[in-house]
Amino acid sequence: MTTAARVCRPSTRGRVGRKRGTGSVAFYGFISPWLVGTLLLALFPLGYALYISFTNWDGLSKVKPWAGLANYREVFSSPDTWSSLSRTLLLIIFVVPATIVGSLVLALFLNERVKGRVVFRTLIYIPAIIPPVAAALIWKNIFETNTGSANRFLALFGIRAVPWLIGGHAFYALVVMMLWGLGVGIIIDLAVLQTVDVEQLHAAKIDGANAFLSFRHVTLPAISPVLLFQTVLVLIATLQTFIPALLLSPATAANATQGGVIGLVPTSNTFYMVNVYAQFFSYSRYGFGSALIVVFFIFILLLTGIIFKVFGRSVYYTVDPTATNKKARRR
Amino acid sequence: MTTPGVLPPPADTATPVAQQRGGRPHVRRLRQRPRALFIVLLVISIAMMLPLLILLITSVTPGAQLDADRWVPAVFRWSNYRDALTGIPFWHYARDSLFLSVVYAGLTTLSSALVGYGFARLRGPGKNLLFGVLIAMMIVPQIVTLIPTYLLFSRVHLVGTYWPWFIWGSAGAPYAIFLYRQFFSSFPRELEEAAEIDGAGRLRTFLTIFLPLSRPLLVTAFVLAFNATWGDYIAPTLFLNQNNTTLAAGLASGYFSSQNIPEPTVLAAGTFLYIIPVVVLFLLAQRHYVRGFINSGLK
Amino acid sequence: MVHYTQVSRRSFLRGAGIVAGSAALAACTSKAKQTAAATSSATSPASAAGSSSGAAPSTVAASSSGVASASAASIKGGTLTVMCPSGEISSEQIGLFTAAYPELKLNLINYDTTRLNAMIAAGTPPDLVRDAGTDVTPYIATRGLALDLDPYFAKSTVIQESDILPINDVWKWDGKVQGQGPRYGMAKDWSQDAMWWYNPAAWQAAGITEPDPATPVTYDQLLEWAPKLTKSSNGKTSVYGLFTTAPSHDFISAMVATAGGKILSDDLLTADFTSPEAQQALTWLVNAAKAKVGYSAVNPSPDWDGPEYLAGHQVSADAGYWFGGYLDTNNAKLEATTKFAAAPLLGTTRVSPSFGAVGYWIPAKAKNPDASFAFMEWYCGGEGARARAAAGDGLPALKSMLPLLPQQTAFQQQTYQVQQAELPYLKVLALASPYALGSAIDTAIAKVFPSAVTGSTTVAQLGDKMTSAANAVLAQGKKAAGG
Repeated sequence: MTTAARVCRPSTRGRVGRKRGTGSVAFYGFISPWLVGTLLLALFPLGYALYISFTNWDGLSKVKPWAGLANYREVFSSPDTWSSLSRTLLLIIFVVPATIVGSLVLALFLNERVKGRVVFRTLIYIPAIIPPVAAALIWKNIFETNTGSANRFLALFGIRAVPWLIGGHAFYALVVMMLWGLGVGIIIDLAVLQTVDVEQLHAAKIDGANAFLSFRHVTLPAISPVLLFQTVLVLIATLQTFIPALLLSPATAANATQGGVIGLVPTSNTFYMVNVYAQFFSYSRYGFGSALIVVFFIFILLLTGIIFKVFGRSVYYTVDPTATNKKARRR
Repeated sequence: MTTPGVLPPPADTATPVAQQRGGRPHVRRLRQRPRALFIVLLVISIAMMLPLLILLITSVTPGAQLDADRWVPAVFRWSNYRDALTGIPFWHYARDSLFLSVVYAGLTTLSSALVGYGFARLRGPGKNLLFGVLIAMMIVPQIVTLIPTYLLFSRVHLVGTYWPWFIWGSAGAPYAIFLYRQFFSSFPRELEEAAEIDGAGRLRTFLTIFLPLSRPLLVTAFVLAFNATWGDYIAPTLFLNQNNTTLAAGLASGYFSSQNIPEPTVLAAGTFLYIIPVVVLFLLAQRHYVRGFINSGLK
Repeated sequence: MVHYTQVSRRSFLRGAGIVAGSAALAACTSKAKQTAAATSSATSPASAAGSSSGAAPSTVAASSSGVASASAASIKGGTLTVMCPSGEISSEQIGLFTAAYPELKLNLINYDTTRLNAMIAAGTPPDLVRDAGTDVTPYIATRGLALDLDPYFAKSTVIQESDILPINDVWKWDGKVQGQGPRYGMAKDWSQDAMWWYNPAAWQAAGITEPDPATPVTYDQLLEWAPKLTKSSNGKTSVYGLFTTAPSHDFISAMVATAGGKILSDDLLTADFTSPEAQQALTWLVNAAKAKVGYSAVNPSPDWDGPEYLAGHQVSADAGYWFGGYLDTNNAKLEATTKFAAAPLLGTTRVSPSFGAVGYWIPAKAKNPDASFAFMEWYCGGEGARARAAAGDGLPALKSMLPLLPQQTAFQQQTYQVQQAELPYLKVLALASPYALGSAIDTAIAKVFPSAVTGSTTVAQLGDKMTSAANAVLAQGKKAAGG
């Protein structure tokens, strides 16, 4: 008998016989790989980082001088912390809305019955899956002061060559590089646009709504949970930006893991995690760096929590996502 | 109100309702919309592909002509590709990258499915808390756990081997686990009950019923994990030696001529070769990849 | 740990292949070779001067190979993990070493500070680490990371104590003063790194009188010439008239040393960039960066002076004697139009320090120290060093090898002469502190530098900021050391 046939059998069959419960043993059994892995490879390291944050360890000496809360006090009092944080927030302002809105708009376009839209979808999405090392090399090449295409393009208009990768310009070069991948959300957006209730759209049309209004009142509420989730993910990812900043700097990626090269990351690209990285590997301040990480982690958790609290209410759910056994499709 | 005599086409969510109706007042504007949209999408697609085109052009530029004021070099130096393959142990790195990426992706896909199923269909004390931990793990940056993880692995002499990836793979990836969890949540209880009645254990139910159902999501998770490993270069730099590291780490060191001058054109060729597998994989898996997201119960 | 990203110099071996890591290492905040040594006795320059000119060719050639096999007998076999920039040790050299010590295998790993840190913290350090003695010795010795090598040197039959050039003293540390105390490492070669190389044809083409290699020029002169030698149009520069400059504390220290000043205090706990000499040096650096006549902190080099000079993007390079070997390996044709010159002056005191004495040290936890030392003595003072000396890849660590320096071609003769003339002015400066690595200090001070170039900070303010930044790093280092 096929599975489908079994499913369609009337449930009056009842639960005869011993019911195999959804026992805890089974649950823990299934999640055990993740549980063990996470304990070992995530929770232990985090705990270790927490412990180190109370010391002044330099990363290799035997001695780990106790520092108490000194590092934490310094996290909040150091100007580097705040300037790197504000730069990160600036980056978020440039990148996150553009990515979310951009993906959505593109998805809306691609949702229309346009010729070749699958090809377009592919072409727009591909930059989002290009590995970071490759993307950095590509854009470094483009923004190279003497030989790059960007300056060659500007030269067509008689504009002087701009040192894109240096100083304040580097921030914008980085933004451009990150926005190149703004199609990252179109796959999900397209998928979720497919789920918008056609009948409701139809009804809106009948009520005289134009494209904007139907989007706002029908589509948007329906896709808002996913949009919210996407925004949170992109926000968190952008908050942690540091590898692209490192790779785009004049240092090559090869020495990116070597401390001193942090000095080559232009100040305007010194984001929070870049600063953290510098603390660890340029200044050998493992304790302080760990404190920065712990604070940042808590900050992100709080931020995520607040976002869900605040916006969660205005998001429209057909089904309570935390329920696990209810049927998802309800009409 | 539909035009009499014309049946409305079957429900087509891809086309806006208004267009389906073919209502008279908007006919001309609507028919123009696809064309305008086509042009817009064309322009955007070209813009997106432009950097890759530039990469390609750079990759065939002779090194000396890099700063010539030309968009396209006078001569195409295809031998840059040969140099890219010989300048660093390209095939060696590629093979290692492929091995790691495939193994990690395979392990993680299955493991994430397992764990996602657990979270979706099973109950246990502390489950919500653990799920919260899962979400929290998505927030932690890789570099944070990397150094202490290195300490751990080197104590058991596993550095310089591929074991870290095997273990990471077996633990599953939080994002994939989340997707699976969403996906598996959307099935009716009857599916399991039917299997129970036939005497199947939990694991068998999972393997024979749920896992096959999640095929598109398997593809999605695999592709995501593959890309993550193919593109990762900090972990290989830390954990692997020169003779078994990945292409990401190898490329990152750059290419140098016999005179030890950096060769950005050869590097461009190497980069182009490096991204081909990722793009090809996506193109091949596109359909399933997309469906994977759709099916993960985006509600 | 040893975040020594600025390679003191890379000795490119003959026929070396890819030098990926090395070139990458060079593209760093401060100059590719500048890390100065800590304070040392005044006896070093004198003895260095005396020894170099009076070096007698000994029968080292015959003895070293014989000796190698003698000490080989007592060594435990195994694999030696050597951390050095990739490509620095050629496969030829590996072959030679394993032929001399068949029971040992060499596993080279690329120099990477993160990896090194992690390895040490995990208790499985490499067996040998390549670093600049002038920069790291106080730090690694104080923290007990490096093995005290005196017992090994005492036993060594390859290296005689009297044959070791005084520059190797920078690898000594007694807890307070660098240059005294037990040895923690040895130089594989060294140079006086404030010297420079230039292309006289560029001076001729620009219609300026060429510098005289024997007479040190002043930094101001360099800055005067640079704009005339620089070629740029529409914002793109094709040729730079000045070598790469950077606000690294050793380069600045070297500059102020010629004016009679110093940056690091005697107790190595504080730095001072506000003294008149320091201000002079900073002014020069800021002006050099502003003038856009060379790569600088605000215009980083894509690699380092070497490749840029080879490619004709720079008409001069800031490097010591070893650069001659580099040219020889990579583009011998350029030798016809390259001259070696004395270290420039900021003030009037002729001082020509060494920023590196790059060599090897052995981690305290190395699993096979005898084998590690066998490699060290072979590479730095034995057969491994001879070929490099004969190629001109830097000055050898041993007196007896000085005669091996090449003097066949006109180029080699010119460089040898200039080098000889420079030796009396060798001075080991106080540049390394046990509290912080040079790279950490450099990162801190480099951060505040760009604002002076854009003009939002005056040089006086820059001096203050750099002083407090450097002192903060040093103070934190003191705390980490338990102080």
